[in-house]
Amino acid sequence: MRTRRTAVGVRAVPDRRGLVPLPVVRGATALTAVLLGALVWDGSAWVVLPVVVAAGAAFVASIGMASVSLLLLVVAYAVNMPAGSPWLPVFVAGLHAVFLLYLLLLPLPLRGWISGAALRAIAWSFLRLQAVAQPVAVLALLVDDAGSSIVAVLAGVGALSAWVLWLVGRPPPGTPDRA
Amino acid sequence: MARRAGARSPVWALAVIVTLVCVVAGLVSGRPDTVALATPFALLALPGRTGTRATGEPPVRITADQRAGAGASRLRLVLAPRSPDGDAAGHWLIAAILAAPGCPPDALVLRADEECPLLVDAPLSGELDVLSYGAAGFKPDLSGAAPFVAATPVRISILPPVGPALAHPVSRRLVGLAGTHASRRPGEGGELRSIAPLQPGDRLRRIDWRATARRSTDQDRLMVRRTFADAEASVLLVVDQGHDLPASTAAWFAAGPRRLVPGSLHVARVAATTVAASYLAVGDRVGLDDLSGTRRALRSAAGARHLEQIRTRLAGMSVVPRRRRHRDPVPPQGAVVVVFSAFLDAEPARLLRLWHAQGHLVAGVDCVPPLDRSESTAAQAHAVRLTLLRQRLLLEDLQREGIPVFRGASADPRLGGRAGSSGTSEDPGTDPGTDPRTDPGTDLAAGLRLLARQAGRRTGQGFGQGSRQGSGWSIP
Repeated sequence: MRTRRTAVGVRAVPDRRGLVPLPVVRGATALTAVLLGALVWDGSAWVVLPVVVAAGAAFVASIGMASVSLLLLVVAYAVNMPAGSPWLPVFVAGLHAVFLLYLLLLPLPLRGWISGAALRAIAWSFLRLQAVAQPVAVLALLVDDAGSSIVAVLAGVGALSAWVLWLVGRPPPGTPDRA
Repeated sequence: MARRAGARSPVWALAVIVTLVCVVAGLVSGRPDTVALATPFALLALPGRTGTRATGEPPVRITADQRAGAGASRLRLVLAPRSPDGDAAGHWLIAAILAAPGCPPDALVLRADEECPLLVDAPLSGELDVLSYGAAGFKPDLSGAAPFVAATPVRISILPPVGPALAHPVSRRLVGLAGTHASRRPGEGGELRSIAPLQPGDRLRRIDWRATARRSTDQDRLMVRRTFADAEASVLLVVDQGHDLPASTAAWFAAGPRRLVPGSLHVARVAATTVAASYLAVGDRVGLDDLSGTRRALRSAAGARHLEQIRTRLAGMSVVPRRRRHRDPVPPQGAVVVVFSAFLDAEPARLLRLWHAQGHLVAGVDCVPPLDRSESTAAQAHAVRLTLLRQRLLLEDLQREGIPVFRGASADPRLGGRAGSSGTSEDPGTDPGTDPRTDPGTDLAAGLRLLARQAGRRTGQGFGQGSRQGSGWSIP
């Protein structure tokens, strides 16, 4: 008996450059989640669990799996990482990136493309939020280290408040000056 | 279809959950760094559940690319996104979901202010949805979303190509007063019928002075040349759209959406177009009907515009089950009738016999394309072989009764490259000894040429008996 695959249709493909295949984005998402999981589950055999869940969440359109993967990372950080860990800014950025990528990929089919311009727009939005989140993380480390020094805490909170107010008050990029 | 409510993005809910988990875990363990993990999620949750109401129109539009060069193997379309809420286009991202026939869907994520050309496969002829699509919009930070809206699929119509001119056999009973064929009626024409004395009613310019000098020695009689009248032939093309047998035998058994595999209907379109163009080129009248009886027949007419009407009607033909007819189609008097069918059932053969018995010059065109034997199981192989065997027996019965049937796949040279000329592919798994279609049959051009020669000989020689001739065909 001959075995031959049934002829299938031919996909519609974009005819331009500057597109990133979605499997690459899914792979990058899974890799980021796995690296974060390896960071917080370091030295434990349980690291297999977040790795499997993270890889599944990147390739399977399931909000439940994405939620479980994020919660595994957050709870594992709270339980396993020592207080005042210098990895905190990295973890804040990584967790945010994994969150964005999971929810970007969630409604999309397995295969496809995303344009470089769209990725840049998402990255720019990510950096805008990180402009607030990273100072907060640094402040949290400061508070953790110098919790007894009320002066240091007040200075840090004041500096962060000023930074956030400046961010909120500045006109969005592309808005003409009213000079 | 568009939903009335705003989009329910899971971003807000998940951001709130992660924020709460981080804050509670930090407060319980007394660690501010755990609370700090919640910062980006709290910022995402702060704007609230922002959604855009659906406008009913998808945020993308796909049109044909006018700059695409003709003759390309694939069709080029342009996908142009737009902002879902009429805001500045650069603030939105558009996720378009594209599905070609027989393919799983693909996603294409773009900024709302950039376009993207697409290449899709198109059928060789006919009307087909080549791309189904829809789109949803969202902000770059995923905080706002417009719901997914499905669009009307991209449907294209490709006219069947016109092949090289074929011979055009004509019936003896020609009608009309125009055209290039010599009829058997006396009248204005080019073919000499007789030379006779001038009678009342004869035109003076018909006087043949040489014949008068030769035959009327006393110069008391004028001799005139009498001719046969010129007439046009009438042709009725009947297309069987009850089946569309794909070239790939694996597709005979495939369920689901139709794939872009050329089938018997494409062969029928191309062969009918070529036959129609050949007759119309010499001023004959061509009509078009189908066996399904769902549309009115295209009236018999002549001219280049009529050819375009025929091609448009043929391009619009798709598979339609046959309806019970109150009466069979009636060809015009003295018409040549050509039936284009895959001959999978007895109905086309019955009509051919009927019209043959009524004295029409009839011919069948076997529209089964060159087959790619790709069936995968033994049962499927048996089914294919039995189907082809039954068809072959049907065609042999017609040949025995003097009704010629030609191979229509030769009308489209693009199909020739797909498989061997024997009607089956060069598939090592196919056993030519047991394949019922190893006999290629007479191709359309050669068959019509032979039929025209026999019809002309019979007309010129006055008519042998209409029984079977050397090829097994009879001319009424």
